[in-house]
Amino acid sequence: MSTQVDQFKYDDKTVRAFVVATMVWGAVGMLVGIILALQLAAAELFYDTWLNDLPWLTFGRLRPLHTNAVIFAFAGNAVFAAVYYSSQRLLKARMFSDLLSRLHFWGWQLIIVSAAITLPLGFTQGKEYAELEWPIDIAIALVWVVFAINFFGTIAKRRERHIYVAIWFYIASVITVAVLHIFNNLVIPSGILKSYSLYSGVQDAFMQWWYGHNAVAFVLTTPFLGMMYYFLPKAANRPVFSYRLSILHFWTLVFIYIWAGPHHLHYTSLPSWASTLGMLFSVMLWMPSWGGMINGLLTLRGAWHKVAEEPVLKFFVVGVTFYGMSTFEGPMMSVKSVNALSHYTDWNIAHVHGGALGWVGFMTFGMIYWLVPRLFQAELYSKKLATTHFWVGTIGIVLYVVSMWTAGITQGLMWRAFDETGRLAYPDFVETVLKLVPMYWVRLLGGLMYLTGVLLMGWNMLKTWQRRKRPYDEPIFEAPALEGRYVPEPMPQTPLERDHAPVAGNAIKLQRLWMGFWHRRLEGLPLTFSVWVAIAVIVASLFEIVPTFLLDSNVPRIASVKPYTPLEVMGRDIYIKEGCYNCHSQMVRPFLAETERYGEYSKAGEFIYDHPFQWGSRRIGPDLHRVGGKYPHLWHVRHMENPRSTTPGSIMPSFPWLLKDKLEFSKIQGRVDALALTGVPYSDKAINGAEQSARAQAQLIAADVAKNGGPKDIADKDIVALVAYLQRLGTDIKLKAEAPTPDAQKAMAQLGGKK
Amino acid sequence: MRGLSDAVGAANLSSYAVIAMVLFIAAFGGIIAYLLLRRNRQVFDRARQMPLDDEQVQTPRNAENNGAAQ
Ligand code: HEC
Repeated sequence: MSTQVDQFKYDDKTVRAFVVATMVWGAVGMLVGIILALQLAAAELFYDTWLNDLPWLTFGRLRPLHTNAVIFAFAGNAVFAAVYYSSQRLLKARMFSDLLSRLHFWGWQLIIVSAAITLPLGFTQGKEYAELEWPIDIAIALVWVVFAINFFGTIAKRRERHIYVAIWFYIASVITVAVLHIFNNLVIPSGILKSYSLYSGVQDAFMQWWYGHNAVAFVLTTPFLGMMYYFLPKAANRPVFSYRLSILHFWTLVFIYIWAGPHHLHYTSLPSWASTLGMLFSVMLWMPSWGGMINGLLTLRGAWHKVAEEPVLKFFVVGVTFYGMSTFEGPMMSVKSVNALSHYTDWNIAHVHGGALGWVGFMTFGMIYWLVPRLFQAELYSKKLATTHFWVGTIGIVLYVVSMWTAGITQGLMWRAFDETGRLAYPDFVETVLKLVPMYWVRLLGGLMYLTGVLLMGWNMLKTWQRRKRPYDEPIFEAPALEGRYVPEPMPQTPLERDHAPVAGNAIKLQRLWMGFWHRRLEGLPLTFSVWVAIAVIVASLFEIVPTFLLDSNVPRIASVKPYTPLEVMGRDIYIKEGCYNCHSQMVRPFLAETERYGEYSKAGEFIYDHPFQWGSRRIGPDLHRVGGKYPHLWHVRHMENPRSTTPGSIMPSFPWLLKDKLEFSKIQGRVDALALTGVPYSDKAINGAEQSARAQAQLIAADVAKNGGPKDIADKDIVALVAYLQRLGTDIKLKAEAPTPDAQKAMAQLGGKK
Repeated sequence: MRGLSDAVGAANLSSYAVIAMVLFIAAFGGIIAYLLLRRNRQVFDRARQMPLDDEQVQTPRNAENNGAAQ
């Protein structure tokens, strides 16, 4: 065989850059997490001191920064490092373009920096993990295209015919993330850093959790499985246990994951067929996921003695085990009856962190410890330190997860407990919060240990880098050339030719092209393959989403539900800006314990003007959907200024600046116009006179507050808009005159107020 | 947006949802069946080796070796 031989080098510079970025952003994102944990454990430390004058430091603004940083900056960069390192070696080709690699790296870091600036400043779309405003979203799309071209370009020029399963997982991720990102971020801008979701209410919720769940699937799961299928065999120096099982694992995930999103919306106003579907598919996910876990662990058969001495393998083993645990816990939490207890509690937080710290984090650390000596071409500075990292991290995870399980189940049970007289056993919400504070301290400790581990790794890396080889060796590899002497197989006769059909030569050529097309496609599998992935994802998504849009006509329209007034729109924007949805839901579920506590359960028709929806996912504070009219205006003013003045022990942040900052009346018209563009039927009066209308409503509220002995100057402050919005919440459907809830009675007594 | 959803609603696409479902299950079943029925031990064995060697191409993409061999 006289094969022409190509010479090539791998690009490890880009991999080094992504590894360093992973480390740095990981530490930053986790540090923000620590601050958040401290805020919940020791609210008074933040809100009764000078720290309270820093709006950007409040929970509602920092929590999106934490989630975005650990998902897109830490995990994101880790995925890119894995993709760049392993793809080149699996495809036996250098990345398609060094320029694109550089653009990809720097573009992504720039996006992270802009996120780190805009989120604490309160620029947000108000949808979890999709908070970044539209200009940044466009930048993300562009950088993603750069990445995709670079990645698929590398596949196209590969020297290895078969594409290893890790690359399949990467392909699925690249395609799906693009689809998710685009569809969930369709907005109507109203200014450079402000926009309204194109969808509203139930549809927006559906879209968001289709996105949210699949972000978990295609950012935090499939690329990390790709990582597992490459780096685990590498580190163990053994081929994967069963290749067939890995392919089965792949296709089942791709086909099933995309349907599971609605399990985030059980017992909400989502139609129940959708949430039942979400539950079924979630439960189905359990089996293939465990197939994958077993495949990973069995890869180590006969190599367990290595696990004892090799920190890399330790990280992988625990990481894969957490994958198994999370993919068991997740389906379990998707079962409606379990979800009724777990939803809105810290159980979610436990679940997420089992996956994030255990699976994503440990797989990343394993990979980094394996990569660092190879990338810096020097022995790891200290294996012992790495082992210490492993233990500190593992204990940290256990503390974190166990404390949050306890907190979640405790609070869930307290919310639904009735006493012998048939009344809520804990009518005072804050009582159910204070019960959790000890658990919050344990969680903080767990988080601190985990972060300490990461810092140890940073130190270890730095020390290894100092010993690096200068300059780096760039080994040259050889492989049979790709196209140099590519001789296609003789083209089979086309049927037209065989039959000597009396047609123009062009038709035969066309047919030949067609047949050749398939021939080449099958051999260039990646394209066929990508098409299949895209079909699976898109068909499933359509099936899931189209009905919700049909459903718009089925969402029982409630005649009394009207659009928000211009002032309320501004108030809602403040609600979004301050990130209140990070602590408050707006969705009363149809359970006795909830209707007793909050009032009438929420109906789909009540949210049709909510762009974006604000149903929330965690109740650190009580549900707010029926808060309208529950308290006097003045109560809200005092509560927002300092929640501990009305509710001793509250861990809600104070928002004193809302009583000082001027409301931007000049922006109101633009906001109303943008909402009208999304389809909210505003009257001519609102379209033309939004500002006057807002000023008039603000005067009324301010006068009431002043009359009852509150501050006299709030008519042009942010607070007046927020109060207007809060008082509107959930009041459009006529409620029976109910006895005031215990909280409300207490408040009235305190203020001597009336409403 | 209201306009769009009205349009989608009017298009009466609900039967497409069923068609999509059938297509989806067929494709999924097809792939799984293919995977389970086809005995491609050799191909898989070669594929499994791929991560272990940075240098050695398992199945070159050139004329002599069209993947059919071995
Ligand atoms: C750190 C989480 C957190 C954030 C962020 C937060 N809250 Fe709260 N909120 C709470 C807690 C805890 C309570 C219960 C104790 C209390 O009443 O202060 C509460 C109570 C409330 C109540 C009283 C509800 C009732 O029925 O008694 C309102 C109204 C409220 N919050 C509004 C807001 C608004 C508006 C924002 C955003 C500007 C916000 N909260 C941000 C935690 C939070």
